[in-house]
Amino acid sequence: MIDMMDVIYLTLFIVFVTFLIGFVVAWFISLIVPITDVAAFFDEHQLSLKRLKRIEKARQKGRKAKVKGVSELEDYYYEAHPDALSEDLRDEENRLQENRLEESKGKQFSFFRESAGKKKSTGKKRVDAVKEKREENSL
Amino acid sequence: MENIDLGFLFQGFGTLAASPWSVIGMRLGLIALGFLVIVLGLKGVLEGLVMVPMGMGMIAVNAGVLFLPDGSQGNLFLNPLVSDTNELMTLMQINFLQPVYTLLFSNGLIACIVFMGIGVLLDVGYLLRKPFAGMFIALCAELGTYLTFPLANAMGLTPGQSASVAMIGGADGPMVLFTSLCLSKELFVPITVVAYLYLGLTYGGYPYLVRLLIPKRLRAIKMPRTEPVKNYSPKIKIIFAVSLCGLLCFLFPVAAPLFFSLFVGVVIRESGMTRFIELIGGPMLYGATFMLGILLGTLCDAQLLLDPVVLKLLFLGIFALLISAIGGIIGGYGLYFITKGKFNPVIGIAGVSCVPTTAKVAQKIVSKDNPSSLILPEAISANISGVITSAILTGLFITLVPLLTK
Repeated sequence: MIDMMDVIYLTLFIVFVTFLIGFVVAWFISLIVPITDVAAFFDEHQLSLKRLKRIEKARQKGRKAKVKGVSELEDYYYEAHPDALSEDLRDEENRLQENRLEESKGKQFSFFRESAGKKKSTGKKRVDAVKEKREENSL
Repeated sequence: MENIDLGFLFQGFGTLAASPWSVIGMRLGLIALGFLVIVLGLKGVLEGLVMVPMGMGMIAVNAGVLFLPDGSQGNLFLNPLVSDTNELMTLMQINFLQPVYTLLFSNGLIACIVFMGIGVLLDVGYLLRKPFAGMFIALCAELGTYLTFPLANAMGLTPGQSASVAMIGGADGPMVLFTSLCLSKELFVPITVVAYLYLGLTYGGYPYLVRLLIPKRLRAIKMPRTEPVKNYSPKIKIIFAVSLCGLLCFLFPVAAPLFFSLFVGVVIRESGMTRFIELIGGPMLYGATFMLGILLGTLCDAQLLLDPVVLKLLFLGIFALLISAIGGIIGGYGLYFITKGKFNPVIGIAGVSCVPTTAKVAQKIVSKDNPSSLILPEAISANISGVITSAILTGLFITLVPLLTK
């Protein structure tokens, strides 16, 4: 004979376990939904994402190329105007600006055109030129 | 010619005349009930898809009783109580529904086919939106199952029989069939018949209960739609179905066939296999429902249902369904108070997992009081959660109840 209390305990246990598993299932559903949502987004937009990556790479390349272009221009400038160089390298930029304004009014375009055919140079030339200038001054 | 016995010639009447009063009353009562069930099914008060073939079966099996060669009374439909293999082989060649019953019904295959069909019809996206609300309602709507189990035991049923009849509170026909097959094979037929008979009644009876327990002001509450309804991609639904199926099978291997059947239906639906969807959602589901109705009707044999325990089952079945509905409404009220009046408590009735009947009932009731109120998404969510909780309870009963009797 089965004790009634055993049946009641079993019922209470079943109620508890059902609620527990029910909420675990609900939590599981609420967990997998965002995960699968993100996964599905990446999966669905795979082509667009690849394209975006390519665009980003191209932009970075473009940025690098642009910086290189500026340093090249500076080298050309110093080669063309060795007087613009001074001992104090911190004022270099200011002087460069001033020189641009005062000495190269209306000549910049022709300057660019002239230097366009020249060999590619680096910032090292400019530093060497400054060193030479310093030596001259010290002598 | 004067030697011809009219009772022997028209054996339906002859067996009636040769039976005791109790059997006569039961047979005639079941024939009348068959007529009533057909009429109510055709009128839409009961679920017509099951009730019309069931009513036909009830009439035919109780009218078509004949004298068997050994002098006993029987029919040529089926014998659900046969256990001897040789006798079964003989009966499979005589009774025209015996092969269907043996190979489709008594092993629970028909329940699995119906579940597959339900899976193909289910859109789990509703459940994915608000899983906690749906699950809370569904858990509350199992109140009838929780309370019927000890009550049935107190009324003298064994724990296995109590668990089987308590599952009627889950309002899920295939689950009741499966539980009774596993735990109380001796009462499998009456429990299943009672369950399906009452499940048909939910369609007609629950609206009255809802109107009784929920005032019109609350029934007309419109669910707030502040954000657009999110549509989940089929991939998400497939991942959900596959992982949940795996999880539930791990937890309850005894109910794995049912979990598998439900979720394979969901996966087929979401994977867009049109041919399979058409096959499972059409011929298989409706064929299984039709055969289920006919078999349930033919199982309503007067001799079989004269068992006094059937009266207890009738009472416990209606008790379980009633209390489950009240539990669901309590859950609906709970969410109504938690959300400060932004939740329609009628959705609670959809926690009773009679997919998709109770969800349709809930929407029908609400539409009557406020035609602009749409609660179907939340109701379907509670409905699907109800199926899951019923499956969990089936697994728990099948696993734990045998331990009680050891």
